Amino acid sequence: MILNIATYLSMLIFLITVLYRFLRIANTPAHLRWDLYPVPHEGFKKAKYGGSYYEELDWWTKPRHVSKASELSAMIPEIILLKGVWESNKSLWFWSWAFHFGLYLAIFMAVLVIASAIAGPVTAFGAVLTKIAGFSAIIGYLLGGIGCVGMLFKRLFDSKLKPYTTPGSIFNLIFILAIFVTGLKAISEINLFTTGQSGLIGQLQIFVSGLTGFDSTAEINRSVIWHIGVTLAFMVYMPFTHMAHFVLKWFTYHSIRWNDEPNKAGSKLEEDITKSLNFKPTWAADHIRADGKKTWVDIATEEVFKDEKK
Amino acid sequence: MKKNKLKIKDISKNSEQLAHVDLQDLTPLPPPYDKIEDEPVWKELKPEYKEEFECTLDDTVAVGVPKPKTPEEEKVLVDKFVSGLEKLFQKENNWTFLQQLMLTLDHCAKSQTCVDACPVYEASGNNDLYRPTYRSEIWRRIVKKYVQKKPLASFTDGDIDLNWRTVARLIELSYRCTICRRCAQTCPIGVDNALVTHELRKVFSQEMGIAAKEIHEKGSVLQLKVGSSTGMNSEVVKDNIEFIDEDMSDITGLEVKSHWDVEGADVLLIHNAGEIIAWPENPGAFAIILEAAGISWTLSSEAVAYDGINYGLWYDDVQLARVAIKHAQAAKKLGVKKIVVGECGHAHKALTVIADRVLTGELNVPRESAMTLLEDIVFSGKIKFDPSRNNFPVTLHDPCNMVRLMGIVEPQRRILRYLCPQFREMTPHGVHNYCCGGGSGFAIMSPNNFQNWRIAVSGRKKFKQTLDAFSDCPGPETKKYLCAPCSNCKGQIRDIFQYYDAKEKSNLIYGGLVELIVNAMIDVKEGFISWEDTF
Repeated sequence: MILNIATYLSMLIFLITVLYRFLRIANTPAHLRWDLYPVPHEGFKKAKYGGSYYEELDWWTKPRHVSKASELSAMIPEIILLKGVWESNKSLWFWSWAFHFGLYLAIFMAVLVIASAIAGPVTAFGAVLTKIAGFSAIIGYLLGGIGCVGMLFKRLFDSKLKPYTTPGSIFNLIFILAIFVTGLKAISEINLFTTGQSGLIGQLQIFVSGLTGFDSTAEINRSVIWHIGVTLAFMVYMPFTHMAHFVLKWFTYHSIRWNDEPNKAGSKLEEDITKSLNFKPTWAADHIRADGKKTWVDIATEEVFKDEKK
Repeated sequence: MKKNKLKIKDISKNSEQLAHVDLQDLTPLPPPYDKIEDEPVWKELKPEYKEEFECTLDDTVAVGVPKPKTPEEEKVLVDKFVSGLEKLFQKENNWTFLQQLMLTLDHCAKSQTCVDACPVYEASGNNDLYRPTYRSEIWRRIVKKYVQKKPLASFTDGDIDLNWRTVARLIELSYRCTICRRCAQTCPIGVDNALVTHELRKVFSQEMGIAAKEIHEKGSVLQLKVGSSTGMNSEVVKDNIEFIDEDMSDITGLEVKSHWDVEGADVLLIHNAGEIIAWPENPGAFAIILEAAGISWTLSSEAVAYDGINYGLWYDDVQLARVAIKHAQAAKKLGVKKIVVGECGHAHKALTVIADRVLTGELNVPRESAMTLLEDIVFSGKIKFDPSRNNFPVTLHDPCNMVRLMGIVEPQRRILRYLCPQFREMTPHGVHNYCCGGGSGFAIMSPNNFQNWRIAVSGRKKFKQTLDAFSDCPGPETKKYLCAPCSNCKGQIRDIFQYYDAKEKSNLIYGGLVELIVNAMIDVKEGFISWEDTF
């Protein structure tokens, strides 16, 4: 019963917090451009060398092409293989990749557990999902655990990382390591692939079925309870940290680095900018001449400095 | 004094000097520039200056913050700083960069993936003070602890003390980054250290009224006051251009005529007015090309509009908006079809990209780069060229603002490949280029011994890259040309070449793109580019 309630609450907190952080960023006003090239949606040819529509004569008279395929071709290697870390921080890459890929596999396992619980573990399809979930769990936990330990060592002993390591960074890694370790402990104690009460995936399936059916009578092995408990605690904690980048990274790329949308007359963007230009700043330096009553438009268009003596 | 192993919290300590640049640590240059004993000796800061101004960051001073004389003055400095930081996170005050800043504040994983991308950090021999993350981390910790007052901030984000020394050093430290954004390019999460530099400079300027004199008082303020940061008013600039036209006519054998205030012209050309003073052959070459191609073009004699610079880009959103609006108003008044920005990288980005979300309604006059117009002209067949006139080794510097931050990469290259038989690329190039070291205003800043720093440290990587590009012909017997289609970059490169005597030792000169185009024009007398007349 307690585990079920904790799960509902943790998931709720996780979703609300992530949604809050997402909306908090999404609701900031239209901002100035801060694009950084290459911008992959410029298309495969231009993205290869970092070109933009500014390379075309009278660019504003030409249709704007946005290639989602090219964008995806940049995103997938980044998400799956951490291409950026590989290119710029090779000594950290393996540990970081193992850590992230381990997490991906753990999440994939959770998705498969939910799918197989809904499909019915005893069906042929459910059995296949159970097998894949089992493999995802063992590989994911091992890789994730190795990645965590490696990153911990790097953070504690690497001269490049150490001065920037905070107690919080160590705590985060240990927390995630605890998820992998408790998962591995559960695997070591009960059969991984067996459906039903005697297997880890089976127990997780029963647990998920209990959650969806509001049934808290399922008997779960103590090590599995520990694993679920640590995972839930992490779900509650994580959105409050920098690790929320797993979702907010969408903005750093799509809203900033790759945001090259030109401002066109009569557009929604122009409307949004006009709203922002009517904010009333209070910057205190003399040359700004803000008084809290003047808008950005007033301040930027008034004649300034000409009255000052040289 | 510490060379390395600098800790984040050291920024607040009452130490004599936080870091030291040892010439022995700098990355080596190729021969004949490889002897440390031949490196120019840095000017020492005068003791009386040190007495009056905060000089405890490193061996140089860019801004020169007066030391507070009383505890009250110390408190004012800190309070104003915190007040400015608070405003950075208010949409009324910082709608311009609020989203970018919130994301950069909260999502750095501290992986240090970005650090090796920084040419200043690398050239300094990995001096911890110049790590691109050093300044960001200090800022992040201050914001979490003193602005957001986050519980357990010291545990989760790391501890920091905020006192007047922290603020004074941060002011200086915000002028040790060229805002080239090469580090941001490598961040897998999209966190941006250069943005932190930019926003810190904004706090200092917009809230505290503190900025580097050259970019504020002698820069954007002077531009808005008299029309140009060069000090030229409308009449003077017209006289100078007339003189340049005459000079160009003599040199080329063509009748060169620049046009002023032509209503309804197709193109309003805006130069960085520094070109008119320092490199008159550049606006002259533009006039030659546009006339030869039969382009309907004009210059504007409106105050501010004859100078394309917009230093606000580096430190102050309000100053940026004021100048950009003046540029657009001049174009609107003349009724031109488009503004074309001359060879100036930051003017490109300020007016084309950043001001794109400042200029609304009728002020949103189309704006484009001179690179695309020049490419169109060169390949249009309107002008006949003899590329053999440019048969000397040429390499290209990519101005960060135009290339990494705007994606204008190929037009200038297509011209060089066509007109310069010995064109060769630097490594790396294009959007992965290295900054000239003069970015974010450094090129025009030489207070105290700051020029030593900006050349020997921040410009070092570019100088090395340039020399490496000519490694097959390093000696003075071969004339070599570094093409830098940006006024600020040229200013920095001029100073680097003079500092290391590169003309003498390597027969290396620099210039813009238009000079190479004119040099190859069949209708122009040979020898437009001269190795004798430079410097």
